[in-house]
Amino acid sequence: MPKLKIEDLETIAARRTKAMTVGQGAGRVKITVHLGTCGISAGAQRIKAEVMRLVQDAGISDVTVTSTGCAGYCSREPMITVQVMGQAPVKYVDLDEKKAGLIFDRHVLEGSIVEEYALGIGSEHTA
Amino acid sequence: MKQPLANQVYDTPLDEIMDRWKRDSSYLIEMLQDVQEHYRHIPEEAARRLSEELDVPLNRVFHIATFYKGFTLEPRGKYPIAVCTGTACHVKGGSRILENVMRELGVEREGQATQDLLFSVESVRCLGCCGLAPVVTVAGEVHGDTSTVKTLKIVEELRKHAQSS
Amino acid sequence: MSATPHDTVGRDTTGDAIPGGYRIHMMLCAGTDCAGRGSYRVKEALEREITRHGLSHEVAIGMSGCRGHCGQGPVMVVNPGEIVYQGLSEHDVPRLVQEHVLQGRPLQERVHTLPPQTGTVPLISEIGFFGKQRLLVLRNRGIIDPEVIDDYIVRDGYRALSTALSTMTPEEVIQELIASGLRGRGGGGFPTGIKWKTCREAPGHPKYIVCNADEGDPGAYMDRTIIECDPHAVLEGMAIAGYAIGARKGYVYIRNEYPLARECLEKAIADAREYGLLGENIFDRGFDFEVSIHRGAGAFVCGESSALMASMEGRPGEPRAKYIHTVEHGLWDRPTNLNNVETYANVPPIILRGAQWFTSIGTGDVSENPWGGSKGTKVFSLVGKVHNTGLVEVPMGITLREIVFDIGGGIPKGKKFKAVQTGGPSGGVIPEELLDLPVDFDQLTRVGSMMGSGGMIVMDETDCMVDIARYFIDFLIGESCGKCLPCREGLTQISTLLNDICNGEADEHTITLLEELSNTVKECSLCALGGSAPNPVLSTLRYFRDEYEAHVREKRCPAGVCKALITYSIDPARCTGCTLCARNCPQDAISGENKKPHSIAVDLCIKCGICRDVCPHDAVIVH
Repeated sequence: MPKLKIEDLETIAARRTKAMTVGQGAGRVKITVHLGTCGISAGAQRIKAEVMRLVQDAGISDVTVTSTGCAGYCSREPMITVQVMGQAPVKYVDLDEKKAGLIFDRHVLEGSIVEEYALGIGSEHTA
Repeated sequence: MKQPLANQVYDTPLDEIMDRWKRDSSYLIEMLQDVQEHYRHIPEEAARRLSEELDVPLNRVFHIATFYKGFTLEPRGKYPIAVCTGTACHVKGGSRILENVMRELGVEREGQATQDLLFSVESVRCLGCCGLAPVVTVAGEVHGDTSTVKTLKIVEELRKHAQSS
Repeated sequence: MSATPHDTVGRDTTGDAIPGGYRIHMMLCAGTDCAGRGSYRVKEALEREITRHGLSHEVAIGMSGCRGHCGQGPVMVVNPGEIVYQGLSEHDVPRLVQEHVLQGRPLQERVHTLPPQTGTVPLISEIGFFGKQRLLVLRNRGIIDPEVIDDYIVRDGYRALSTALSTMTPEEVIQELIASGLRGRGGGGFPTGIKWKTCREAPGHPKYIVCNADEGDPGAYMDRTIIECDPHAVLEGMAIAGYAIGARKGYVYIRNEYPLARECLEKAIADAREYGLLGENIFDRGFDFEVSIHRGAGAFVCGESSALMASMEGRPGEPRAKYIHTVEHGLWDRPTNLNNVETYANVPPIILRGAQWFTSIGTGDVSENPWGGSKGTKVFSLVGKVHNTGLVEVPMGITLREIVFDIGGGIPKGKKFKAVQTGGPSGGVIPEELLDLPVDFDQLTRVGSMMGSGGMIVMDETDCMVDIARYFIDFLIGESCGKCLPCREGLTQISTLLNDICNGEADEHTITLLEELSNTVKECSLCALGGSAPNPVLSTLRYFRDEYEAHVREKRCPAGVCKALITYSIDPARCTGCTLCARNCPQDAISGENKKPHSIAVDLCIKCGICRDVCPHDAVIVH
């Protein structure tokens, strides 16, 4: 691939943003699994595998599953963030496969937040 | 110019390792890491051959191999157990877990392997999973929020697994 | 700490009073979707428009995390009145300023009507753990995929580098860093810009950039997490340093215990190379920069700069005397700039948003003297006996009490707070009476601890301070390189004295001797490892002398930790006779009938503590 020029940064950012924004390229729902060393030790890889399996089994194509590094809240790992089109992102904590399944059914498919496992909505303060 | 001194067993992997680092002696630490990974310790013959081929005094090879915690001169077990004794793990009982697991496995010194060479036990300075303290790794897998009893259970399972296969 | 638009962003949105003397406060959402729909572009347009009207002193403009007002982005909250706009674009800005700011009425067609509040789920930004955090270094945590370089570019990645290369001279970059007051996040707190300047001016070529990712302090994992969250931020910071200093080659020295972080960094380097963001002639500006990785092999002393460089050259990591500076005689005896991971990750935002923005966060005044304050944020690993453990990023100047109790949620199991340990083995403990201390480089040093790299280990009443001191000394004995006598022999003797105290074999004289010896080791050691090694002893003696005295006078360990001074027993009132302890006791020292209180045979007990670990009723007690 040819070397980037300064103006290419803009193009890449626009393309990737479109691809990963809910309601655009990312489809109706985006599920983010937080995978750092702590999350993985707490079982985040299993959660990711379970979420991918659920998406596949449901035969739906409007859901994007992605991952990030550590979310910082080690004592509440594993964590995922679910964002449904037109709604604020919701962070879920202390997950296992069963809880992930329920979140998938109720929040991802039906659009209603599973309050008992939700930590909060929105995102963090930036400086 | 290869010296016939070294044991043949060590030739192939050692050559690969040295070639990987272009036989440049400033990468001696990296080479020793690869040796440690491959043999689970630094065999004396490997140290000798590195010294000869890279033209580094043998005493420097051993200085490095004994200076850094990542190297051992005796083989680790098939499933090395590393008990984290970082500060967070220490205040949550990590040092007690180390003592207990060593006693229960009959391991007298840190780094020593069990008689059947299945396990070895050592402490490790912080693994960087302090949020999950106390932490123990068994064969590279991290177990957070653990205890003596939980660790010994993992050991039992691995022992059964090793005996059945 | 003075109130500024930046440290109030997202904090006070409900009240009518706008801090900082501003009349109006506008906050654009920096959440992924709003950012994706152009919230940063709207912010820039707003700033231009406000400046054009000469209203910069009346209107504060900032970015906040997602506050859950999600309609069609970009979303902006305006105070007073908590008016929420949605679907803004640059084109709306002139009318918005005309209507809202000048006429004092909201621009109706963009006002967002909130959907009815559903349920009881709180806002992330109002949850204790997240509420007081301000993400600057960790700005991309939980948002970008660290393995996808495009995700980083979406979040303004590599724009600081392109800005520096295309619009700034190396001297200007250094000047910006000096003006920002950024101080090294690895422990010492040396002003980064000054270090860069010295290295740029040092004679000799080639020059090198080194990133210290050999995070050796036990109880600290900031650097690992930063790399695992956002590896490109570190690479971009290093490349900017390379440009500023005149170096073409950078190295990351990373701990061998961090395999995931290393893989992450390897992938990031390969991707950046493919895009030409590392390599030759970056952005066609005639600047070349390469980065490669060196794996550490496990030696705490390699956090010391000259030891780290010795290790990178393939030698044992033994420090040399401090009067030879690594900025002049570093790697391969060439001028070398060494900063840690967090320091480099601070660089891109400073270049992009300017020193003035950076100095609005934190304590003190750095306009005349780069040591005059602590600016920006600091990432801490908040661990130990605290409810919420994790990695927290807070503005400098926040108090320890806010960190431990508001963010950490206090001490679990109803136990009492005793101390918080900062600065790793070179640091010290801070007792309860100093909890209102504002956290910055100078305050922590003043009370006998230090910032260090950012480990913050909370301890409760069941942690023995003598044992903690012994723990750190034993750690340092293992890590001392052995080159100088005060450190090599002194620490061993200190450990002997501490063991005597823990074993109940000491008297008053031991404490005096311990103090004397600690001061000697501190004065006479060759490098900073030995020079700071007695700190854990000195600081526990300073604040918890009574605990030492209980050990020597009454042969008692008040926290119930020191084995020689404690006995285990079972509280018959709590024991339900579940037999769990008896079944797990390795000594068969516990007996009792099913469903009846058990008891421990003191002569058989080896005080391993397993019974206490397994007891579901907290019936095992320690005297």
